[in-house]
Amino acid sequence: MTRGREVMVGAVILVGIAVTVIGTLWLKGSNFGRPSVRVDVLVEEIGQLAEGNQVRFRGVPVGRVMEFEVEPGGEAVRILLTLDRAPDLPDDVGALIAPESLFGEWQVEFVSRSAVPFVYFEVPAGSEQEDVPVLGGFTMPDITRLTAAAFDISQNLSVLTDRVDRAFNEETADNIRLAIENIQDASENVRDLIDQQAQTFANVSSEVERAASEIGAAASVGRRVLEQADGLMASGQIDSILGNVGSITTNLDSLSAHMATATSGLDVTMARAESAFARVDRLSARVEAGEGVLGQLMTDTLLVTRASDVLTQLDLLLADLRENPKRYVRLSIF
Amino acid sequence: MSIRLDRVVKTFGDLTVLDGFSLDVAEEGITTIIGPSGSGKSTTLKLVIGLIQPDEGEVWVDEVRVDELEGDDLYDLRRKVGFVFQFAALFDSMTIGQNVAMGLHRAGELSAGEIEERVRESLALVDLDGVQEKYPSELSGGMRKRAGVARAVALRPRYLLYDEPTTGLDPITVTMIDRLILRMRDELGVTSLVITHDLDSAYRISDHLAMLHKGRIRWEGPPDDIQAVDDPVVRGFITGEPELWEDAS
Amino acid sequence: MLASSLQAIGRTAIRGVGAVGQGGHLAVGAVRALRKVDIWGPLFVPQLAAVGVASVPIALFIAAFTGIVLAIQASYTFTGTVPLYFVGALVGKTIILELGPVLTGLALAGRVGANIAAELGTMRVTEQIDALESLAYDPVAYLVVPRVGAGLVMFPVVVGMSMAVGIAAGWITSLFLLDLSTPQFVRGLRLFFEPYDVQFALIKAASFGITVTGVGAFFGYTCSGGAAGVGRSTTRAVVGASMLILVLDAFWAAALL
Ligand SMILES: Nc1ncnc2c1ncn2[C@@H]1O[C@H](COP(=O)(O)OP(=O)(O)OP(=O)(O)O)[C@@H](O)[C@H]1O
Ligand SMILES: [Mg+2]
Repeated sequence: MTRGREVMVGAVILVGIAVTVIGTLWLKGSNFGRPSVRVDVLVEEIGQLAEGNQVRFRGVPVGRVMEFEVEPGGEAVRILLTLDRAPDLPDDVGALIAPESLFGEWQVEFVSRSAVPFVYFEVPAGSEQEDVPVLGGFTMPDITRLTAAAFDISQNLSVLTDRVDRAFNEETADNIRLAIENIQDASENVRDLIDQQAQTFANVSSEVERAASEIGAAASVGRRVLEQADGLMASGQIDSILGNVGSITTNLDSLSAHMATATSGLDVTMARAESAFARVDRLSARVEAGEGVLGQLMTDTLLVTRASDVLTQLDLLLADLRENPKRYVRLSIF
Repeated sequence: MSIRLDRVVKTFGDLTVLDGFSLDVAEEGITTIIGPSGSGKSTTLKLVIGLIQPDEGEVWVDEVRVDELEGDDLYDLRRKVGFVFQFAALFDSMTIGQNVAMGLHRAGELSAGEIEERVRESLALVDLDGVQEKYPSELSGGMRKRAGVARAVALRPRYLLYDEPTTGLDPITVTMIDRLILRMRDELGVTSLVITHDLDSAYRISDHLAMLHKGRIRWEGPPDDIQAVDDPVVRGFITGEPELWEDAS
Repeated sequence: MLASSLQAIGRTAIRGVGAVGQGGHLAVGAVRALRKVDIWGPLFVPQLAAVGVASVPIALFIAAFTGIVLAIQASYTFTGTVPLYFVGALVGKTIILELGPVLTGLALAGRVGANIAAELGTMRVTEQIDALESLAYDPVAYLVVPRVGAGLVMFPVVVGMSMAVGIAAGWITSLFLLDLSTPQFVRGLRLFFEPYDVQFALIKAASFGITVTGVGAFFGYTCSGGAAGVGRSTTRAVVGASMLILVLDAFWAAALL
C-alpha cells in the first residue's frame, strides 16, 4: 500500500513536470532537436519585433526569431533567425520587418528587393558570424512615424513657400500648381484611408476623423488656389497664392500635431526631401547675395521637381498604406 | 529528585485554576491527587510535562525546571514521562497497535521486532489482546482508555502521570489497572502521579494522597490518615456529602 | 453602549494581533522543525499523496471546464474585427497567467485547506496534539511541516497539469464547437506566449500551496472549543486561504509582471 502510494506520487510529480516543461518548450516553438538553419539579418532598428515571432517566405512560415542584439558600434541590430527548412530564396533577397496583422504581432518576411523596393540595410563586408548568411533588412515605420513624417514635410513646405516668395515666375507657378494638385491627391488618399480605418476602429475614429477634416480643409484650400491660378498669374497676386500655400501647410501642421507626437521621420522620404530643401536654401542664399544668377534660378525647375518628388514618395507610401494597412496600424489588445 | 511543584499559579483568562499550588512527589512511590471536578487536577499534570506553562512558581522534574525548558530539551524530558490522558487521546488515524508503538518509534531504542513484542505485551497488561489492528473508533470507551494506558506504559518511562485511568471502567478492569500501577512501581521503580475520583482505588494504591481544593493542596498525607481528618472540606468530599461540603467551602 | 462597542473593537484588534503573532510563532516553529527530518520525513510521501495526488481529479476537472468556457466565450467576444485565432491566445494567456493557478488554488483551499483544518482541529480538541507532545513528537514537525511541504511541492505540479488540460480542453472545444483549425488555435496560443508566464504561474502556485496548507494548519492547530470550534476553524481556514490567495495573486502580479 505504501509502495503503491509512493509510485503514484512519483508518477504524478513526473507527469506534472513533464507536461509543464514540454508544454513550455512547445509553446515557445522549440523544434525538439529537428535540424534547423540559422540566418542573420542586420537592420537599423527592429520596431516591435519580439523573440519567437514568425519568419515567412511568400506567406509560408519557415522559422522563428530566436534573439537579437545591438551590433558592436551601435549602428545596427542583428536578428538571429532559426529556419526549420532552408527555402530557395531569391538572389536579391531582403528581410522586411513589419506588423503581420492589426493585432500587434510582427514578423520577418523574406522578399525580393526588386519586388518590394525599400531601403534595405547595407550589410558591411565581414558581418558574417560562423559562416551564417547575413541579409540586409528594412523595418516598416508604423502610423505614428508616418504622421511625424507628414509633420516634417509640412514644416519644410512652409520653408519652401518662404523661399519661393523670392523666386517666382510663370513656370514655377505652374509647377507649384502641380505640386498643390499632388498635395491634394495625397491628402485625399490619406482621407480615404482614414475613412476606411475609422469605420473599422471606433476607438481611434474620433482622432482620425478630426485629422481627416483637417486634410479635407487643406484640400479645399488647394482647390480654391487652383481655381484662382490663372487670374493670379495675370493679376500678379502672388501674395495671395503664397498665403494659400501657407495655409495648406498650416493645416498639414495641425494634422500632424493631432495625429501623433512621435518625432523621428520617414528615413527615405525625408532624406530626399531634405536634400531638396537644402538645395533651395543654397539657391535662395545666392539670390539674396545678388550674385546675378536670378535668371538661372527662375528657369531652374529643379526645386519644384524635387518638391513633387517628395510628394511622389508620399504617394507611394500612401498607396502601400492603402494596400497593406496592417503594416502601419498597430493595435494591441493585450 | 522526582517531581516538585512550588507555589504554582495558573490562570485561564479570568479564571485562576491553581493559586500557590505546591506538591512534592516521592520518588518510586505513587502519589494520588483527588479533588472536585474543575479544580485543576488535569492542569497540574499538563504543567509537569510542559504542555502548558505556569504564570508563576516553579515546576521541577529531575532537577530541571520544566517551566523554563524550551524546544528540544522539553522533548527530551518528555521521553522520561509517560502520560495517560483523561480521554485517552488516541490517534484516531492509526490502529491501536500503531498508537502504542508511536512512543517506541520515537525513542528509537528498539528494533521493529522488539517494538512489536513490546506492543503486544503492553496491550496484554491492560487485557486488550487482539485489538492491535483495530482503530480507536472501533473500540468502546473503556477499551480506549486502557489502550491509552498501554501507550503510556509501553515506553517504560521513569515517571507515569495517570489522569483518571479508571474512570468509566468496570470493577474488574479497575482492579487490573490498579495492579498495573502497583506493578510499575514494584517491578520497574516507576514514580507515579495519579488523578482519580475513585476513592477506594486511591486508598488501595497510594503511598501519598493529596486533596486539591481552590487551587491549593488542602490536605496531604498517607491515605490511612484521611479518615481521621477533621477539616470539613476534606470530610465532605470523601464522604460525598454536598451539604457539609458546601458549608465548608 | 459606546463603551461596549469600544470594547468590541478593542477585543477584535487584540485578537487580530494575537492571531498574527500566533501565526508567526507557528511559522517560526515550522522552519525550526524542518531539521527534524526523522519526524516529518516518513509522513511526507503520504502527505504528497493526500495533498497533491488526491487533488488532481478536481483540479483537472475545473481546468477542463475553464478551458471549454474560455474558448466559447472568447469566440463569442471576438466575432467581427478580431481574428478567431485569438481564441487560442486568450485561452492560453488567461489559463497560464490567472485561471490555472488561481482557480486551482481556490478549489484546493476548499479541498485541502478545509481538510487540514478539520483534521488538526479535531486532533487539538481531542488532545491528540498534546498526546503527540507527551510522546516527544514535535507536533509542528509531525503535522504542519509535511502538509505545508507537500503543498509547496504539489501545487505547482497540479497547476502545471491543470494548465495543460485547460489549454487542451480549449483547443478541443475550438476544434469541435468553433470553426477553428488546430494550426489556427496553436498560432493564437503561441502569439503572446512567454516562457516566463509559466515560471510566474508556478511561483504563484507554490505560494498558494504554502498558503492553503499553512492557513489550514494554523486554524486547525490553534483550534479550541469542541466540535463547534473545529467547524469554525475549518470555515476560517477556507475563507482565510481564499482571501490570501487573491491578495497574493495581486501581489505577484504587481511584483513579478
Ligand atoms: N485550555 C484551557 N482554556 C481555558 N480554561 C481551561 C483550559 N484548561 C482547563 N481550563 C479550566 O481550568 C479549570 C480546571 O480544569 P482541569 O481540566 O484541570 O480540571 P480537572 O480538575 O481535571 O477536572 P475533572 O476532574 O473534571 O477532569 C476548569 O475550570 C477548566 O474550565
Ligand atoms: Mg481532568
